[in-house]
Amino acid sequence: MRVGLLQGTLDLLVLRVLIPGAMHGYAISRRLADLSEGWLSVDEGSLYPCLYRMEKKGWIRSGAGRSENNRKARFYSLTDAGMAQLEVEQQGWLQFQRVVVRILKRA
Amino acid sequence: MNRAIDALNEWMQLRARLRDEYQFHLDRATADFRALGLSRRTAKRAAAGRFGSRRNLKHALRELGGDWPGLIRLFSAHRVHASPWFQPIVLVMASLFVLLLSPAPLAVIEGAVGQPLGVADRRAVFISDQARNLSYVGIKKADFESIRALDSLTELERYQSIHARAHARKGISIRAIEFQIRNRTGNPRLRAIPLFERESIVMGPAKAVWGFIGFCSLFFFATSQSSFRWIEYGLAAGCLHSLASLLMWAVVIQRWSRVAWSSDGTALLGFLALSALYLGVVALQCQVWRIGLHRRCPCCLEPLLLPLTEGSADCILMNSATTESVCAQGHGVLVETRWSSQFRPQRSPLQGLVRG
Repeated sequence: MRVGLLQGTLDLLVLRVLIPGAMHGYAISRRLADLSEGWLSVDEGSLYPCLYRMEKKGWIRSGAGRSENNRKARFYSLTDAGMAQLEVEQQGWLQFQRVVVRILKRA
Repeated sequence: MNRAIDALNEWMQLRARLRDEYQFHLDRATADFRALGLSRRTAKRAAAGRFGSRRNLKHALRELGGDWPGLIRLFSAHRVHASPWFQPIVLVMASLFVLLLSPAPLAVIEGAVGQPLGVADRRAVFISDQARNLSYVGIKKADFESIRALDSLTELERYQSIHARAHARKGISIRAIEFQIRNRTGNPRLRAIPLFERESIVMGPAKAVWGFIGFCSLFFFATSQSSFRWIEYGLAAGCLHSLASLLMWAVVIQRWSRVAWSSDGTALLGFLALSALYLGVVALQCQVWRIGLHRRCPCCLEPLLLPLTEGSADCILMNSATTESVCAQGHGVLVETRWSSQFRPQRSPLQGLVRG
């Protein structure tokens, strides 16, 4: 069963995926799909507005480059502000997860 | 204005950038599917399916800052979509109004000379002295003789013994003739009145509006990768809005031209005042469209409903009032803060503005 992405979690996932290094949009979406092993249902098209929004917020930066098959592509990488934001979002998510698990166990 | 241009510029850059990214993404996805053994067509379809719905993209783009350009693109659609009879009816009504208000320039002259004009008169220029009570009292013999030598007039002759009638040379405007006869005679009250048909509705601004809307329609069509639905709606709405403006302008000009102004100065002031009125009405119209669109869902174009106000109208710094409206289909949410120009905590978002 595939599950939809919770509102606001795409930012967190993208920021996390970008830690190893710069990637283009397609690589990010593939990486997300691989890591979730097909469980997350994400419209790949919604990734790009999200990337643009994060770039405007200064969390990531983009630059032109060449893909593996030598096509022009835009590569995204994490900034210091993005790193800090990732930390904040990660903490928030873990806290949320703990609360949900606690409720499920005790209710 | 600069903000608007910057917003449009940014919007265009965003569109261009996303278009490139989408293309790259779809090409890569198609290539991957083909590597799995799918045919080209199937691979393309699979890539598009995984990419997601265009509707979601549109929504996401609007969220990103497609504010007013996005709204302009939608504005043509939502009116036609909401009421299929509204546009044709207004178009027909506007056409009828323009026809009914079509000018009768000869009536003024016929009133001045006291009898209907003959066919032969209808290509001539009537020259007479306008008294302070605005009646045409004729032209003095000395003035008549002095304008004989004017190159811009041919076949100058007396008309009913007191007025003068002539033909204007091709390409000479009535204003130029009037200027010349006043200069030549030194009589500032002499008027040159055309007996031939002329455009008494000033078409320039209406044509400009038409051209602008047409240009915008084509511009947004060319840059929007949309279907024929857009061009159909865009043209219909463009016609409507141009005709509405034309109608308004026609009414204004008819009103202006039928009033006997005491001097050129007051006529100019009257013209300026009515032009300002016209521009004011157009601005108001634009504002209503903008607000109407602002309060419609970008996906289904249905009105946003169920306004919910939170916060306090008194505590504007710490807990300012915010109204949130939602789309009945669940597509969109509109949040308006107290600082928004359209903030109306006591009103439904659509009350009195647009018909649902």
